[in-house]
Amino acid sequence: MQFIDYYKVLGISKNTKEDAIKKAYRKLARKYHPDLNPNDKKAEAKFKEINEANEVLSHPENRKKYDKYGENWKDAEAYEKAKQQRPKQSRQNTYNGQQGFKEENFSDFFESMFGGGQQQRQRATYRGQDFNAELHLDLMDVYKTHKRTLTVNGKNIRITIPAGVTNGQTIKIKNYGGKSPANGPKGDLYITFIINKDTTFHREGPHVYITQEIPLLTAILGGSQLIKTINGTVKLTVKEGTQSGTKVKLKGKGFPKYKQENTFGDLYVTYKVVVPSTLSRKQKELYQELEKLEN
Amino acid sequence: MEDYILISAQDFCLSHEVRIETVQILSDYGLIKTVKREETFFIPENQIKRLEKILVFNNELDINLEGIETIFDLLERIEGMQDHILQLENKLQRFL
Repeated sequence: MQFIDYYKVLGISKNTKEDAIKKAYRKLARKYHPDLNPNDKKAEAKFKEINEANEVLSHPENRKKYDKYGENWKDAEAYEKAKQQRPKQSRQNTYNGQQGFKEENFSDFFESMFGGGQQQRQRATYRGQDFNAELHLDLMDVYKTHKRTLTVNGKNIRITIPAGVTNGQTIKIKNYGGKSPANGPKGDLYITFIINKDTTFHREGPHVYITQEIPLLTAILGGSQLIKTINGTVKLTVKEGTQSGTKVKLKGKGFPKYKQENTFGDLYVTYKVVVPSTLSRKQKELYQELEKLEN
Repeated sequence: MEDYILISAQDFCLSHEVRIETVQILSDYGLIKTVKREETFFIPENQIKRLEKILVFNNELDINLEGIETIFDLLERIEGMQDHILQLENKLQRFL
């Protein structure tokens, strides 16, 4: 359990008056409020800290307890006493924005000192809470549209994952969030797709990139090379005198375009010419012959 | 077509302990869209989240309407930039 200096969190001294505490809180809340800092985990964490500090210091009773026990909160007697003085209140989430806070976000210190749960004034909300979830998928999982069952907050939800979703893309599933506390509409469920990077294919939107090694002699004399694409192997003709780094485009062999039925991106193959690291005596002699010819 | 659900402004105001005039002011100011049908004032469901944010900004963070308008404008830009960063990060992954 960690001890948090709430005065430090709000940037005030121990003898700061109540109205000045409110002022300090508002100033910091304006800076770190999650609605003002979308997708900023650091700001979110800081806001929770500020909120917690304000909850303790802006209530005279809580502040008195905090001032009295301070760092000695670990003391069992004080802990029990505090617990008895403050019966557990109903556990409700306080902030009901897109990234709703859960009670476990509050510091252990706060919980041990005041008996768990949040003592904050509950804000009236009309919509239900929005839920956020991450779904980790392999690249091949998003090659075809498919259905998948997810468990969010203990509920099974069957969703369609459209082919071609990209890493970090978020989709909204309407009315799959929390229930409204006031008979209003349900919140929404936001699912962010995280696509694992564990294949030789590199994807950029609907286009796919691979590096293909080709033998030196194939590069010099030309020939054919089998190449693995996402949906099978293809035979490519390598032109005579192909240089390392040469790019070849295979039209329509890339990834499906998001929400564009039967439309695909391209596959870009970059050749990497492999120079043999060991040579047989015969091969060496032949290369030396070539060298003489060159000179 | 997406469902278009209307919420009674009166219900919303009752639940949030705000005056109906406040919602009207916000609507007149152009911060939210509202609908009036047969003398009854409604808030489209898709405006509720925005309206709740406005109330937090105004009541809890003491930000005036001009400030809120600016914030929404900047938030839109931030979201656009975050999308752009994500696209660039995905592009960059190819070279890592």
